Amino acid sequence: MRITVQGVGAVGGFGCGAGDLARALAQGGTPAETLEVATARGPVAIAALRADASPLDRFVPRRSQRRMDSFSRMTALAACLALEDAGALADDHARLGVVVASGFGATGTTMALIDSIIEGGDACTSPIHFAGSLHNGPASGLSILLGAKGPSLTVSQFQLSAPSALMAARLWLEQGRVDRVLFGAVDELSDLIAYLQARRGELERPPGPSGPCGEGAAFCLLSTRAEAREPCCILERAVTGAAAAPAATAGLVFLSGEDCAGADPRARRLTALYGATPAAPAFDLAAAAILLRQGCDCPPDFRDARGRAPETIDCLTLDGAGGYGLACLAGTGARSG
Amino acid sequence: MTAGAVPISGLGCICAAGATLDACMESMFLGRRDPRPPRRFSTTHPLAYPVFEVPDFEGPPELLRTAALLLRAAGEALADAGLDRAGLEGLRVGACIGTTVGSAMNNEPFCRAFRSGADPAMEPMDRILRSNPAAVLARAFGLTGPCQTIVNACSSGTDAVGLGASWIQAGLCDLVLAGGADELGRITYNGFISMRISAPGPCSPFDRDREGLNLGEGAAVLVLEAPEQLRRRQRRARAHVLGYGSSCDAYHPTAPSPDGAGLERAIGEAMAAAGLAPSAIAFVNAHGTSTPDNDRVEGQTLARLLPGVPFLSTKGFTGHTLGAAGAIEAAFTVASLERGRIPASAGFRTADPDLGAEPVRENTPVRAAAALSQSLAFGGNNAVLALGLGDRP
Repeated sequence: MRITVQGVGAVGGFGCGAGDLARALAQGGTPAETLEVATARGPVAIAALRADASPLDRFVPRRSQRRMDSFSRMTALAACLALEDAGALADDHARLGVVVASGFGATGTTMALIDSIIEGGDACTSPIHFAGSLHNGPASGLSILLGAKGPSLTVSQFQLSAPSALMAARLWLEQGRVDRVLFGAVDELSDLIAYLQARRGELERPPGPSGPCGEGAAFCLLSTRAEAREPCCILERAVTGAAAAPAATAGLVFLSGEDCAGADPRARRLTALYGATPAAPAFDLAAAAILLRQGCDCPPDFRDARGRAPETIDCLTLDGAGGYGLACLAGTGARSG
Repeated sequence: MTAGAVPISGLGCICAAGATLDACMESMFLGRRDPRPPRRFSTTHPLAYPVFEVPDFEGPPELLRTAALLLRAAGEALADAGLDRAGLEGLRVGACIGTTVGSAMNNEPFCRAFRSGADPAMEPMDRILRSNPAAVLARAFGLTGPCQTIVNACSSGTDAVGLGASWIQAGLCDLVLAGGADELGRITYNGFISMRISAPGPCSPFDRDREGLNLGEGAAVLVLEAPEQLRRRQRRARAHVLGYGSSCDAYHPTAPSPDGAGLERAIGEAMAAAGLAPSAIAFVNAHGTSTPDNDRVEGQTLARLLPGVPFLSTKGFTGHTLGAAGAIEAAFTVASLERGRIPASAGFRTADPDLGAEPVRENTPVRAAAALSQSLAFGGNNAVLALGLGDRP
């Protein structure tokens, strides 16, 4: 069964949309800002790539965004951009499946929930923040926004959240439960996550690799339909596990997650584009789909020694404890089926 | 039984109703339940809303209670399946676990200290980062297959069993530890009270005078095993996952769609996958939270789709165990099929004329070999499992 990537959407430190992500790929990075995090021992500066979800106004009236937190707004924006990129924004989404991955969930809203208890006492717990703190809130919000009545799934597996969720999306399509899935990942650089990054040296296992801290959302529309529009690429494989990771075979390999001995020496990290975030594997997938799309002017940096653009890209994620996720993408002119 | 049926070779469960699945079944058939004000944490609410805590259970300090409960249930399930860590070596074993609380960065003392400008010790965050439920199982039992923690709110456990079964069907795994786990905590307790859906007394699912839910905690694990793997071990299936269906209402962040259309789609998908007609359904283990909205939608939908099929809610015995509920109730469903009877729906006294159906009032014999277990969740998620008896003597 052929599973195609019909469109991609992303918001992160590089900007908003496939065009901005393509530009960042060509430039090789995004300038990071310095975030000053208060600690008891004084301020600690961390490099950060922040996302701006304000372009959501183009898809959702501001009035309807009043109760959306930053986490949900990034989710909705990237998802709408993916549908727009696929030319599917106005389609009937009644049979659309939604799969969202997040390493830590809406930590900003979780902190706001706890703040409401700290400031007002137990009886003043905020019901809005409580509902918003649930990990599946953004997926639910997407389903409501789009009228998507197919299955909805949210996965939280730290670094491997996105590969694990992608495997589920692929299974739904292969098993014919749905014929389109909006798949994506989202994570935010809340006060709490920034603070943990500032003290990452004191954690047993820091939440994510070193490098500028990132946030944002990246989505793809996956399909098994006979779509009218030419796809970006084909999703050939999506697996996870904890045995030895399968060898990457593609011409180009993107690596996210932890730095591990034994990682493919050819592997490239795109952390400079969108920062270190558990959502990185979904950003890698979006970046790979952009590079494989027909007509893409592949930046020289991603061409092989003979100057050829890649026909296949593997996105590999390692969690540093033996776990891996691997997604294999192919251009429509290369491998198929 | 359809070709896609996935054998269940072991079951384990711990919740307020009992420390093992057998203990839970025994106490439910005896009609025992003991909701009390929380003992493991204190609150400043003027009213002590009752909960169902797991008594006499302490996990290792390095793990969240959610993970510790899960490990206990997994140990029972693997023993029931005749397996241990050594027996899993060389097999492609996955972990698919549902939870809600067990994956949130919500340690209250840490956050209080952080907000006050102190630098709290990092141990609470380390504990959260090492307690991802599916990862805990993978680590404890040396699993090498897919590892997935599902956070679909209150349908997480049902979704985890359904998706775990799909890994077997797709040939990704020889065996999957599927289930759910969640612990009780102050933040969740406060959150449900703030939403005005916690009952001031013992919950009464589907009752006319129901006032809301009681929270609970616990875990359950189902050992799902590929048929050929089960044959290799010369074991019999205790039960089967016959079908799974899920849908989203796309209606409201916290309220179910009043027309029950999403639940109807999930029931339809599960029954179609299982190849079951309504007459083949022995009973339905309903979500039955005892909130006015949930029970109205669920009761009306069951009355419309499965008229005359007995149904019950076991939350009157366990409380609402959130991400664990679907797995616990799937285990209860299998154990009830094996016993040929279902417990009385605890807390139910007076029929609600608005529902068009009522749950069983007494322990009730059932005859057919298949049943449904269903969950509804915040976010409008609906998930349904069709479960059938196995051939284990």
